[in-house]
Amino acid sequence: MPRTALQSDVTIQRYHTIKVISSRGLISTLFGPGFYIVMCLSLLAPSILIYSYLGSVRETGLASMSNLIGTPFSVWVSIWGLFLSISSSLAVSREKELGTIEELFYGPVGPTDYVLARYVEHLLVYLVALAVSVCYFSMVSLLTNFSMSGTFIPTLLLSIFSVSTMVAFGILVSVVASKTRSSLTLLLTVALIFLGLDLAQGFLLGHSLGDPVGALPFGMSVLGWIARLTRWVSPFSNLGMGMDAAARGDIRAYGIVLVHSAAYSCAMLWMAVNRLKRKGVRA
Amino acid sequence: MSATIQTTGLTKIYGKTKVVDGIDLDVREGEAYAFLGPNGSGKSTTISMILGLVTPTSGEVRLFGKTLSTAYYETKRRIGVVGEHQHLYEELTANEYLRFFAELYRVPNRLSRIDSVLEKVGLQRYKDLELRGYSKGMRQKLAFARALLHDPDLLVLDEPVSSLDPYGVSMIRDIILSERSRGKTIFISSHVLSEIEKTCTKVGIVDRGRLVAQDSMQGLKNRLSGGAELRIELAEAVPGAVQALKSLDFVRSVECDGKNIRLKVSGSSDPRPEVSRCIVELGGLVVSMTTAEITLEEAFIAITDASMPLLTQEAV
Amino acid sequence: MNEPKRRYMSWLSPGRLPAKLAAATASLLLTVTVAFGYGAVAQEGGTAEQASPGREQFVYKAILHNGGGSYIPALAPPEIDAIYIVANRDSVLSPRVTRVYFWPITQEYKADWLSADEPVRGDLEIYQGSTLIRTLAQRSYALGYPTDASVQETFLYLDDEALNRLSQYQTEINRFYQMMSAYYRDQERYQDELWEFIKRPGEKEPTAPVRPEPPDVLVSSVERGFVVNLPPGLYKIQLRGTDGAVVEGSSKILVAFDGYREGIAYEVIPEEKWTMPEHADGPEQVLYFARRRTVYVRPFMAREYDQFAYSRLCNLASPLAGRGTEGTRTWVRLDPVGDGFYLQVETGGPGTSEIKKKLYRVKQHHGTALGYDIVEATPADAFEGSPSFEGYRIDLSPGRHYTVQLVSSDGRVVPGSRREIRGVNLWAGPVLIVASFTPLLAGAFVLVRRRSLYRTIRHEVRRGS
Repeated sequence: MPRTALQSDVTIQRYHTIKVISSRGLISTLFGPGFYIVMCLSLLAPSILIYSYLGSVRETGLASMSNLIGTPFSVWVSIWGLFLSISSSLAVSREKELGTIEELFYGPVGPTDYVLARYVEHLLVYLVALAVSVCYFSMVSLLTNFSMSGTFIPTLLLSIFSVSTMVAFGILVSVVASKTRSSLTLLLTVALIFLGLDLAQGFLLGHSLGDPVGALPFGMSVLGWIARLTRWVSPFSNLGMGMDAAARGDIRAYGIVLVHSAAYSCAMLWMAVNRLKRKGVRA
Repeated sequence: MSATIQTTGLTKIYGKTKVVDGIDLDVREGEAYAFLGPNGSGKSTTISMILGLVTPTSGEVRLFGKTLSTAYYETKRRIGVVGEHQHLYEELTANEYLRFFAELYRVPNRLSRIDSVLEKVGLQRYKDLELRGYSKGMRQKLAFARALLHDPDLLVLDEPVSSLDPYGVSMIRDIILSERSRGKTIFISSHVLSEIEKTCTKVGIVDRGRLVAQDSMQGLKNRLSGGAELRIELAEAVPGAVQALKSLDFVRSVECDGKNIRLKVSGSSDPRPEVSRCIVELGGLVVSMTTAEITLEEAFIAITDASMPLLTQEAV
Repeated sequence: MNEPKRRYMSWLSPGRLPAKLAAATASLLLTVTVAFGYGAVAQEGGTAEQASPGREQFVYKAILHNGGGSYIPALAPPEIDAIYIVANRDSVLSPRVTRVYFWPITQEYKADWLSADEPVRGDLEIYQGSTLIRTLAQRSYALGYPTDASVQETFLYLDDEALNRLSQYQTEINRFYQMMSAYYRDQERYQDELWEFIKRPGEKEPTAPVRPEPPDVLVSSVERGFVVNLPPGLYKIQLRGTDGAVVEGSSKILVAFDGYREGIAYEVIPEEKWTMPEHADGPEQVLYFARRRTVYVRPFMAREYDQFAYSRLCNLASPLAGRGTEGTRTWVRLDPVGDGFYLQVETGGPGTSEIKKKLYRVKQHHGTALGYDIVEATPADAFEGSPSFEGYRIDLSPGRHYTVQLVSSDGRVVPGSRREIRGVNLWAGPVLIVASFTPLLAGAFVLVRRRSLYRTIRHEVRRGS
C-alpha cells in the first residue's frame, strides 16, 4: 500500500478510536451522578452571587456595576475547570488502576489516540455543560434584567480554551502518576502552590509598611516576579488573564491568551503521550 | 505456513532484574501454541510485549510479519485477547460493553455479531445486566466474547479457564478447538496443563525469563521421556528374549523381570507388531502389551526443574 | 542521547513528584515566612505611628500632569526608583535637597520644605537604553490655579510667561487687597447709612458697596526645574551637576505612559442621597436601580490608563501605591464636559428623549426634621448662593431599561458616552436559587430510570432461570 494511503488509514482509524472512546466517556459521565451534582453546585454559586448583587441594588437603590453576568459565569467556569481537572487527573490513573486501559490497548488503541480521546471526552463534557450554562445565564439576564455584556461571547470561547489547559494538565498528571491517590495529591499540590502564591501576594499587599526599605517590599517584589512567571505556567490563570483582556477590549492580549492556552494544552498532551509510550499502560 | 508471532531476542529489564531474557518465539499460522512457565517466569511480561503494552528493552516482535510500529492498527485489528484478569467497565451492561468494543474494532453487522458471540459463550440471557453483577466466570466468558467479536486471526489467551467451572471449561475448549479448525492461530498461556494437552499442538516453556523448550507437543514428550515405553506380560519366561529384543533396531533398552519385560523404543512407527513377532518366534506367548507415555505435566516439571539442561531445539 | 530526558522524566516519577512539589511548597512558604519575620522584626524598631527621623537628601520635587487639565504635586526621594509621567504632556522635575521622612500613617515619604529646601544646579540627562537622547536645562515655572472652584484646570506657566504672570498676579492681588480695604470701609459707611435710613425712612436709601472680585487665577511663586515632555517609553534620567559629575541619588527610571481609550465618565447623583454619587466611568459599567427614582447625571471627560502607572503617578511618594494592580487598566475622570451637549435617553420603545443640562440647588427642609429637596436653580433665587451642582435629570421607572448617550448640539454622539441604566427584578434572586437545583432533579431522574430498567431485567433473568 502506498505510504500516503497508509497514513490516511491511520488517520481515519485514529479519528474513529478517539470518537468511540470519547463518546463512551461522555455518555458514561452523563449517566453518572457527578455531572449533575457539579452542575447543581456550579449553578448554585452564581445564583447566590446574583442574589447578593440584587440585594446590593435593593440596599443602595442605585448601583453602578459591571459584568454582573460575566463574574458569576467565571465562577461557574472555575467550578467546572476544577471538577474537570480533577476528573482528568484521575482519568488515566484510574483506568490503569482498574486495568480497563489494558483491555483498550489490546485493540486498535494507541497512546496518542487514548490521551487525545480522554482529552476530547472532558472537553465534550464541558461543552454539554456550557450549553446548559448558556441557557441558564440567558435566563438570569431575562429574569433579573442584568446586562449580558458584549464580553460574554468572548468569555464563552475563552472558557473552552482555559478548561482545555486544565484538562490537558490533569491528563499529564494522571499519566505521570500510577495511582489515583498520587495523581490527586499531585494535582492538588500544584493547585495549592499557585493558590498559595496568590494568597501570599494578596496578604503582603494588604500588609502595612512600617519600614519602607525592610524585607517586606523585597518579599513583595519577589512574589510579584513569581506571580508574573506563574501566570504563564499555571493552567489555572488563563481564564483570569483572558477575561481581563476581553473586559478592556484588548484583542491582541485576548488572542495571545487563546494561543497560549492552545500551545499549553498541546505541550501537556504531547508530554502525556510520550510518557505513556515510554512507560506503557501498566499501573 | 507463515509466522503469526515471531520474537527475536526479546528482552525486558526492570531496574537490575532481567525479567525476560532473549526470547525467540515462533508461532506459525494455524498453530495452537501453549506458552508455559512457572509463576514469575516472565510469561505475562512476554505477552505484554507481544501485545505492545510494555516496551521491550531490546529485541523485536513481529505479528503477521510486521512490527507494531509499522502496522499498529492493521495488526491490532487482527488480534483477540483474553487477559489474565478481567477488568470491565462495571457500569455498563454486557450488551453495551460489547457494542463499545464492536464500534472500536469497526465490526460489521454489530448487533447480530454481538448476539452471536454472546450465544457462543452462553451469556445471551444476561446481556442487559450491569457488569458489576457478573460473577468471575461470567466475566471470563464475556472477555472471550469480546476477544471473538471481531473474528480475529490470532487469539491470545492468558489463563483463559482459570475462573471457570467444568461446564465453562468445556465450552471454552470447544470454542478454542472450533477456532483452531477454522485456521485461526491460538496462543495460550495457562497452568491447566490437561486442557493445554487437549487443545494445543506446540509448546514453548519459559523459565526464569528464558525460553527453555519449544517444540511440538509429541516431540517434546518424546525427547523428555527418551522415547515411548512398552510393557509386555508373557505367559511364562522366554529364554533369549532379551537378546532377541535388543537386536531390534528401534529398541533402545530392555529390562526383564521373569514374565514381565519393559522396552524403551524410539521412532514414530508402532513397534508392537515387530515385538510380538519376535517373541512368538522364540516360542513365547504374549498375554498383554501396553504403551506408557510421559504427560505434559511431567514434561513441564522436568523441564522447569533447575537441574535440567536447556532443551531448546538449538540446545538439542 | 536520552540521558537528559531520562533525568527529567525521573524527576517526574510518580512516587517522587508529590514529595518534590511538597518540598518546593515548603521552601516557598519558608521564604515568605522568613520575609515576614524579617519585616516584623524591622517593624519592632519603632512604633508605626511615629515618623522616621528625617535626613537631608537629594529629591525631585515634581509637578506631574494628570492627563486632563490639572497638575499633581509629587515628591521622588531616593527610595523611589521610578517616576511615572503622562506621555506628551509637560511635567516638571525640580532637583532639590531637603529633609525627607517616612510618615507611617499614610505610608508615604514627605519633605520638610521649611527646614531645608536647597535647589540643586545642573542639567538633566535623559537616556533611552544607553543612548543619551536629551539634555535639559532648568527653566522657570509657576502654576496658576483658577479661583473659581468649579474650574478644575491648573495652568503651567514657563520661562518669561511665568515671571510675567506672577508679576501681573502680584499687581492684581495688591490692587484687590486695596479694593478690599476700600470695600470694608464702604461697607462700614453703608451700615451706618443704613441704620440712619431705618431710623429716618423718608430719606434716600443708601446703596450697598460692590464686593471686588479677586484675580481669576492665583499664581504660585516662580521656581526652577526641568520641563519633561516625552513620547511613551522607558527612560533613565540623571542630574549632571555643574562640576560635571552625576549628582548622587539623581538617577531614576522615568516611565512615560499614554492612555488607551477616551470616553465619557458619568457621576450619577441619586436624589435621596446627593452627597453619595455613583460612578459609571467605563463603558462596561451599567447602572442598576430597584425602585422609581430620579437621578442627576454629570458627564466628565475620561481616559483609560494603566492602573499601576496611574496610581504611581498620583501617589509617587507612596512605595506601596499601585502594588497588585499591574497589568490592569482604569478609567480616570478628568474635566467636566462643557456646555453644548444634551443627554439622549432611549427607553427601548420608539423615539428618544433629549435632556438639557440644568443647574440644581439642594434646599434643606426647615425645622428640626432632616431632609432636603433638589430644585432647579433659577436667577430669582440667586441670593441663596451658587447652585449645588449642574447635571442632567432622569426619572427612572422600575423594570425599565434605559440607554443614555451624550450628543453634541450638532447631533453627533460623543464616542464612549453610551451607558445602560437597568431596573432590576428583585424577585428573581430566590427563583434562581431554586432553579439551580434543577440539575439534581434531572440527574435523579436519569439514575432512577436506569436503575429501574436494570432491576426489571434482573428480575426477568431471575424469573427465567
